[in-house]
Amino acid sequence: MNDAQPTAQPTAKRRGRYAIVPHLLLVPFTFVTLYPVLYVVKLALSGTSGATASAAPWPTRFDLSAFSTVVGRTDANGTWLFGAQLWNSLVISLLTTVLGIVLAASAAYGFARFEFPGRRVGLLGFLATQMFPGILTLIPLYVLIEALGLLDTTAGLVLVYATSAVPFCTWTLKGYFDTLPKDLEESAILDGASRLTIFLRIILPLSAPAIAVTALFSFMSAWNEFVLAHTFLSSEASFTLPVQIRNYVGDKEVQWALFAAASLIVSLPVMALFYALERHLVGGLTAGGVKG
Amino acid sequence: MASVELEHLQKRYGDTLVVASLDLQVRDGELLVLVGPSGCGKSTTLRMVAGLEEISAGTLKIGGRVANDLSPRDRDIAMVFQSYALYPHMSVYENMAFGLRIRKLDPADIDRRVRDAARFLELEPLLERRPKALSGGQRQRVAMGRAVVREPAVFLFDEPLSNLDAKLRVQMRIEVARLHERLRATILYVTHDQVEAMTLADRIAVMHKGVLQQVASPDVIYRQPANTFVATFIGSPAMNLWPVTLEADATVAPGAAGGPTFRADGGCVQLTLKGNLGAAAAQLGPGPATLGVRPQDLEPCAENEAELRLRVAVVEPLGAETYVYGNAAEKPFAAASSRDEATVERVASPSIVRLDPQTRPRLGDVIPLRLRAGAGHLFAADGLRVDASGAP
Repeated sequence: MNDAQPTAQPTAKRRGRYAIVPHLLLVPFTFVTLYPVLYVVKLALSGTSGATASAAPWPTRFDLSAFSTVVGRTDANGTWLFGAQLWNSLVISLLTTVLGIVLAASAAYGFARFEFPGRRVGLLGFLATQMFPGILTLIPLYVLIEALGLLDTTAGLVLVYATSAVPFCTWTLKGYFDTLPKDLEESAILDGASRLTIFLRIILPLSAPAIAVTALFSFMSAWNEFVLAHTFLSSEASFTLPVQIRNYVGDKEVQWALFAAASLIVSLPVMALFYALERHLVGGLTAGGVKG
Repeated sequence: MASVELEHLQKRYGDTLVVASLDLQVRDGELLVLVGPSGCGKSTTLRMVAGLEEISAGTLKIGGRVANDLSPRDRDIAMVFQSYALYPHMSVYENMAFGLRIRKLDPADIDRRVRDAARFLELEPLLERRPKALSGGQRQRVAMGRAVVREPAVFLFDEPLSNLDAKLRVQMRIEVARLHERLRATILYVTHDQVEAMTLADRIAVMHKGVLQQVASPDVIYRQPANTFVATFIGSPAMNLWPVTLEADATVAPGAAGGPTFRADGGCVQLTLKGNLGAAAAQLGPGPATLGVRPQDLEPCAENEAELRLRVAVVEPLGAETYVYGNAAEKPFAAASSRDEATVERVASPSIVRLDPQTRPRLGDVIPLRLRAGAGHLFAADGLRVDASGAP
């Protein structure tokens, strides 16, 4: 070991010197990545009076009027639109998440633990649905939702989002359930527990990290979704926030400052969630990679 | 408590027969150890008793009642798993109480049972801890506690000590023995470790390739192994087995019973068979057989008395004894030269002898050895032991 050290030190030094080069290369890439975000912040802070034409990404003003306009919007009847739309977004995203997780967790447990005819086809079918662009299902979904009388309703959108989140969530959760030792369930069976008890009291509590990840993904995809919401919702009071953001880009006039401010406001909850769940996320994403 | 009876019990996976028509009884209050190498079907058998594997054919009775179609929860059994199988998100107390809560026992009764078991297993200070905060030995004690609180008719142990280090294994072995002593419970215990089998069992059942080889007390299993498999599987280091040819020895006067005296000739090992071995040989008659001798049943002797010569290849001084591994020395006897190569290859198979600790032979030495009086076993060509002693 001792005679290895003199050679090891210069190697480490050399490695340190070479590390500067990739970092120098990374600086412009970071700048390119951050530029649009910084530009949106700049636009949002430029106020409602009009955007500057400068390409520089840093704010030249600190005007919060765009934020207050976005938050304070009301319709002709005096309904607080922003509040209603925020509520719509929250309710739809939360219901989608809950419904998606309930359906996906029970489906995933079935796929993970039982052998039944159609198991493989079912799993591959779920995977196949993820391979087609979502836009493909837009028209059939519209027909279905219309037939159900759920156009322009929260329930309609929740139904569509939850069912489209189920395949992804099922695969993620099945992957996690596969890593849980079967001994635990067999032990519970001998303890006298039913399958439902095992699922509720053993499997679900142990799968908290995976459920957190899948819940976050469903929440985010519902929260950010635009195309389906734009298609199925028609009255302003039933809009979700992404649909409202799009409305700031009108045919005749583009309200960039409002667009940017609303975008930032919509991003905040997701950022906060990510920050809060960061530890679970890493645990959940790598779950199953390492036993223990 | 209850007995467990396995009648012609069979397990198949498709065309693969994993357990072949097993007949076995675990008596009421008995600790029966099912032992065998990996893949011999012992765990599958245990899981069939537990209800975790379906029984392909045959009858399982627990407490005299046919249990084939009973769900695991209705069999009144508790199982201790090799992996402990503790619920990671529950405290030790909750782990032990889980099964009782599921069965909706009175909370005061649950508490009493858990605390009694915790006291007996010295888990009291750990009741509020989660399994991940426990050592391997503590986890296994919790797993045992979880079984004990259930007060089942039958306990099943599936290689419960395999995950522990050697020192802990000894400690836990004592715990299991204490548990059995205290509860006098019916226990079916599966292990591949013959030391566990020998030390814990009231009776041992040895399995190999899905077939039951022998069921008997540890003493009988060791002293009168039913066949070459049991002979080599139980006892460490394993029994030496040498293929020999039995032939009547005309140069020696007839034996006590009046029949001829037999010689065993295995090329490298040659001896006149006396006592029980002689009687066994007489029973078997001339022809091929296998001679089995435990390492401690060989003793060094003078060159002219040698029945076997061992060329030393490895010496293992263990303090209390020394094991010498080697090959039977090449062509020590005139007869060996006349044998074909394949036979010589076979008889030159590694042999082991236990010597007293002061003996330190050097590598390459040739040690002349003979059998201790009354030692050795003869196995017929089909591997079954020839028992001429009249013992069971």
